[in-house]
Amino acid sequence: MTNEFEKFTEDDYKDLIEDVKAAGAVPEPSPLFWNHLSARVRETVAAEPIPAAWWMVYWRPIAMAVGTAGLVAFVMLRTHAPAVPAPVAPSAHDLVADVEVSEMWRMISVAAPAVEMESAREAGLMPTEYATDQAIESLTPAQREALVRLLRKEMGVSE
Amino acid sequence: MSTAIAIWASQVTELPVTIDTLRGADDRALIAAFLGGHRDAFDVIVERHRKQIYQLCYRFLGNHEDAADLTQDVFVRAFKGLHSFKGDSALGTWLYRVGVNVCLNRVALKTPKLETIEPEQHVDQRNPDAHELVARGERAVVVRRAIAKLPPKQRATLVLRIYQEMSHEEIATVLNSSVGAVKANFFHALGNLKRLLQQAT
Repeated sequence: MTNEFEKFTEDDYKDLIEDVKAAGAVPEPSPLFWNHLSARVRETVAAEPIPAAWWMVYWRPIAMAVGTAGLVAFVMLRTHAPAVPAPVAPSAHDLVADVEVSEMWRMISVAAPAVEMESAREAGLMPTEYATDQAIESLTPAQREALVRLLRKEMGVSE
Repeated sequence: MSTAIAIWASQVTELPVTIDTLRGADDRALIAAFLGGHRDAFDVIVERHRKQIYQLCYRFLGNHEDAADLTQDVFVRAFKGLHSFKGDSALGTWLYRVGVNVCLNRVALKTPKLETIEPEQHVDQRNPDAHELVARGERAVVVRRAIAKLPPKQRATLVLRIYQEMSHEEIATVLNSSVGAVKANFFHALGNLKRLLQQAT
């Protein structure tokens, strides 16, 4: 084989590459073949469960712990922070913008999906029976309007 | 709203995500959507990469039936193994890696039956260049047979380098070897091919 390499000129190399390229044409299968192939794959994996991502195996417990701690911190801040009356009632648009840039809201958005109901219950974070009603009743009209906008946006409902 | 955000939002809100949205997503967003529970995302991955994988398998096996079977096998393995894909390389490169392994396993088990493509069948004999085309077709058959006789790793390197036009680094990723080993395999493949072609003529 060493002798072969010694005799391997640049022209030999180019000719050989051209030969290989010319021999590499793949006949185009019937257009129906592609859909048929996709259907075969779909049928074969139909009974298979979708496996969990590798990072979820490691990060789920950590994310749950961080999420729970975040929620506890949020509730404590809300409970102990002195209420400062706003001199002028902000508009609904301002409130939505404020909430969206708020670090606290961002933290809650990131942490909340990873927190199981069971973990939240164990941490004593479940609301009382009428807590939601009371919270909504305590909102100003502008705040309610902002809440509606946020919910619509989350649900993908246009205004 | 970008496609990735739309898919993420659908996972959070559990609203359905349309196949058109998925078709507009890049591979990373599709993987995230699939691992988040959207089976349709995997259909789009298959749709996007099936041709390249089929061509890879065809160039290894040399016939449509085996290439079709192995392409299906590659995507079934990808379905089961996509959760372990860490995004170190492009999804296409990862699929090539699955494809090459599947092809090498098949080649190790049984010698593929090369499809007989008679050049005369595809050439209009009234064409003034007909003889030239027939000669080229015959040469292609000889070259394909010679490539089929190469050791599997050399064949894999040759196919990925010349037909799939991958760099040495990409081939090293696909074959899970070093760049030096890829260069050596490619060089040996060409040397062996030259010898085999000389023997055939």
